[in-house]
Amino acid sequence: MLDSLFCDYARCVMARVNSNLKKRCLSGIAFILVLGFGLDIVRLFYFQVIKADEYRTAAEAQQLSDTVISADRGVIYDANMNVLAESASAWLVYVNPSKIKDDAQAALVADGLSKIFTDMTVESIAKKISNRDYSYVKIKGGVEYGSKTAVAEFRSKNELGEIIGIDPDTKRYYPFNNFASTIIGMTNSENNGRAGLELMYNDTLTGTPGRIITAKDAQSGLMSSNYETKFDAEQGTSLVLTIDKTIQYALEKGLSQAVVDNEAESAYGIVMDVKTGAILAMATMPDYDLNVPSVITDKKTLAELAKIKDPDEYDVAYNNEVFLMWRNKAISDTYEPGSVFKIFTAAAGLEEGVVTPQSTYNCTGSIKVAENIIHCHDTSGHGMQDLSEGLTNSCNPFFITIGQKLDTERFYKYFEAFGFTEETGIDLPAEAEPAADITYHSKDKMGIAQVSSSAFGQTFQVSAIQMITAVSAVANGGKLMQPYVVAKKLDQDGNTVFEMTPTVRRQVVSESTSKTVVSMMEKVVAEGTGKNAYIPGYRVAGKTGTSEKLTVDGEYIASFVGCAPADDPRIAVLIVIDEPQGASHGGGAIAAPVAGSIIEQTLKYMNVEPVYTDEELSKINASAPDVVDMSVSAAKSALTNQGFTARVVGKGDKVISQYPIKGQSIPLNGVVILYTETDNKNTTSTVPNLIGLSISQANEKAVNSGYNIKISGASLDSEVVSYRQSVDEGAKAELGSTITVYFKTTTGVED
Amino acid sequence: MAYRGSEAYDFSLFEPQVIEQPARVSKSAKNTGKGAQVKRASANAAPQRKPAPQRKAAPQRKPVQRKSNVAQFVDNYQQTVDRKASSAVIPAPIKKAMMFACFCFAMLTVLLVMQTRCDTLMSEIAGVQREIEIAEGENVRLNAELSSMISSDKIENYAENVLGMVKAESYQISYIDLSEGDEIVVSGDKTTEQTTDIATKLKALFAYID
Repeated sequence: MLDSLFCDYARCVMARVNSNLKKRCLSGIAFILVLGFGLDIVRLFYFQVIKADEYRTAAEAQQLSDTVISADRGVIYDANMNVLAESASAWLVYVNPSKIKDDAQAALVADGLSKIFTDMTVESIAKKISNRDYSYVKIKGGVEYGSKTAVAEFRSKNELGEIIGIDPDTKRYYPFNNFASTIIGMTNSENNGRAGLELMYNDTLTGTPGRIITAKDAQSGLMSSNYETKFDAEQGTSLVLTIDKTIQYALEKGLSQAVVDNEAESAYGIVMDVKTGAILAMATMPDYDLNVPSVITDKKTLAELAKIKDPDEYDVAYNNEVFLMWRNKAISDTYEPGSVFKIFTAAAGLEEGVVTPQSTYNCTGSIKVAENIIHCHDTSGHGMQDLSEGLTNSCNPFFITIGQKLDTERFYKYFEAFGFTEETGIDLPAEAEPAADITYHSKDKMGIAQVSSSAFGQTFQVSAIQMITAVSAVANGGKLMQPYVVAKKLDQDGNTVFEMTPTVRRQVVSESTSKTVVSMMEKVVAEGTGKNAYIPGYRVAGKTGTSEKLTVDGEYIASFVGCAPADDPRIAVLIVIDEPQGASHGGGAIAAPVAGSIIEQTLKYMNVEPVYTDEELSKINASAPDVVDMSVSAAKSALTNQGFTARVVGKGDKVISQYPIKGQSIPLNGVVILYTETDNKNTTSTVPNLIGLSISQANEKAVNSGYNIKISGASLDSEVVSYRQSVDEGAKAELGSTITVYFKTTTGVED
Repeated sequence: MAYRGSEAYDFSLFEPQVIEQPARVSKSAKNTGKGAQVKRASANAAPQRKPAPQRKAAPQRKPVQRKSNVAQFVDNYQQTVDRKASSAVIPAPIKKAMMFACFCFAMLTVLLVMQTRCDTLMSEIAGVQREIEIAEGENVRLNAELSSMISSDKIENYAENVLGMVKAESYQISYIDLSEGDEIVVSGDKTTEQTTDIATKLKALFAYID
């Protein structure tokens, strides 16, 4: 019993002791657990919440490879949806120098890549990959499929998978190389716009870049494509320009020929739709190839550069020339307009009533302005003349007088209204900004001398885009339009997301004033200094201008601005030739023929029907008569009776064929070649020199050599002289073929 | 004092015991109710003895009724068969669970197969897309190359200098004035035809009179 009681007691004591111990143990364990886990939780909170961003970034950088896929830029189209610039998928080749084992392997990489990329030398690649601390060195972007495949094969063959990498990229293609280069501009290696529309509309053209996120292993090598997530890039918005490929080509061809003919520093021009302000063509010569924009191709510039012997100096000069070559002079450069500005003085005078078309002025060859004598370009004086004759003669004293009659207030009012004190707002970059008292006289500082000189276009500067916009206002019933180059914007699917509507900025002069001025300008082309821009069948209005450069002594700027058809103007053309070196440097002599040719081609392209006057009809070419199957004697007789000359090739008695064929245009008194044998050999001959001759002399010389000529240029003027021929002297051409000979007058076109 | 489990003093264990005859349960009865418990009948229960003066509380033993060996064998056999029968029947919840597991397994298998197929197709699509991108890039490049070959200046040079072509002259171009809209001109004089018809009819009429 006692034992039992003792046992029970002991058992109770032990149970109590065990219970306390158990509690303590549990408490201890709980404390350790709480402390341990608590610290972990706190630490976890620190990492996951407080330092979350930092560690997430670090983890992503360590575990993921994020490659950006360049988005295709939008396409640039001309007005007829011809592609002018387009992007396509390409590749970017890079090297991971940190994985290169030794110099031999580096040499292998450099040598192999230089053989694929022929425009890169071994040394340049070796230099790029020489720093082994780098893990990414771009070798070349915009790599095409062929080169990319070659790189992949080289990499695989030499087990350089960890060293040479290929990433997606895009490449910008300019299908027509130099075409409209100063308008389109180009992109840099990062696919960002660098000049022209590519720069102006960079945000619009740039798409949304895509990404490739790939998992990396512990050795920083990329894992397989199963661990790759790709987000496709989205193409940028496309642009449809107002530029017309055909008109642009005519302008570029005319300007490049003008640079060659006149050994000019440069030439630039604009063709504008006067009713809308849309730019149909704009060019600066010399230009550059958009696909290789840093390569100078102009022979004159290269010859100048070749004179520099010091390599460093050469590099600096070369880079400067590259930047000059990229310059859109029609937008960014300013020039002294010269007599072209008389259009606006006349318009202001008529609008304000200080002068009428019948107002007369007696030019004595000079005029005194504020104790200074200002001479007319015809120092002997033009004599008594009305306003129209004054403009035709480009008489300086007459327009100085009109300017003085307008006074500062009203002259400045029209100077400002025509837009010469502000940017035109054209959607192209780097437009020249007019600066008061620097590029033009401010109203406050415009005295009698400034008004007088400004009235005939001296002592101030304007940009070409300002000038053609103002001339378009005169031609467009006095409405000053906002010039623009982008007509539409298209999304990726070709839907129009924006369409430009022509904007009238202001009415500068009345419609009647506009018509009066245009009719006077037409007379300038028909009879005055602009007659080299005359086109038979078309009514062309225009004004020439010649000014001495303020920045370079003894150098001139020749220009011509015109619009056509004069009865209902549709286009305006401005041609500026900078620093011509030939015998003649007048706008009428060298700029007007270029403008005339461009206007003719443009009007024909726009299907404007020529309407010939009787005088023109009497001078235009005739059609060749049909003398095939006639006997040689009968054919000769028929041709002679119609005023043509016959030349027989062969010993047959019957005409088997003729050249020019029946109905083909040949000049009056032209030659027709009569072939009398089926197998006529040696029917080609050497083209003679037809330059520097009058129309009759050129025709006679051509006919004697067995060729016909087509007369191009101021054919109504009796004093014209040929200055260019379509087939060069000494070239072989088929007898009887037509050679286009360009004529112009050199008298009465000095201004 | 509570009984402590010592059976040394329990003399009743040495007394003769009656073995209980297990009650026969029909199969249908066995299958009814959960667990199909077998009830033992105690029809031949042993006569109750008067309990001895209690010194200690002895555990009560059920009387055991002895049976013949054959009967016992039959009973044992029956019990074995019953146990086997009861163990052969799978409970419904287990059956459902098993079916659900099978379904899940099947679905998992299908999903795995589909996922594999999907991965394969995705890989193929990615490959084709890459090929399309390459083809499109080549198309643009070739078009650019083609365009540069047929630029306006090259065409003009080739036409004039190689083919000897000249630009269309004004006399070769006919301009049609559509400013007044389209007009339909019917050729031929219809009145003559009508006159002829009348004359023919008159002739035919007089022919009958003649």
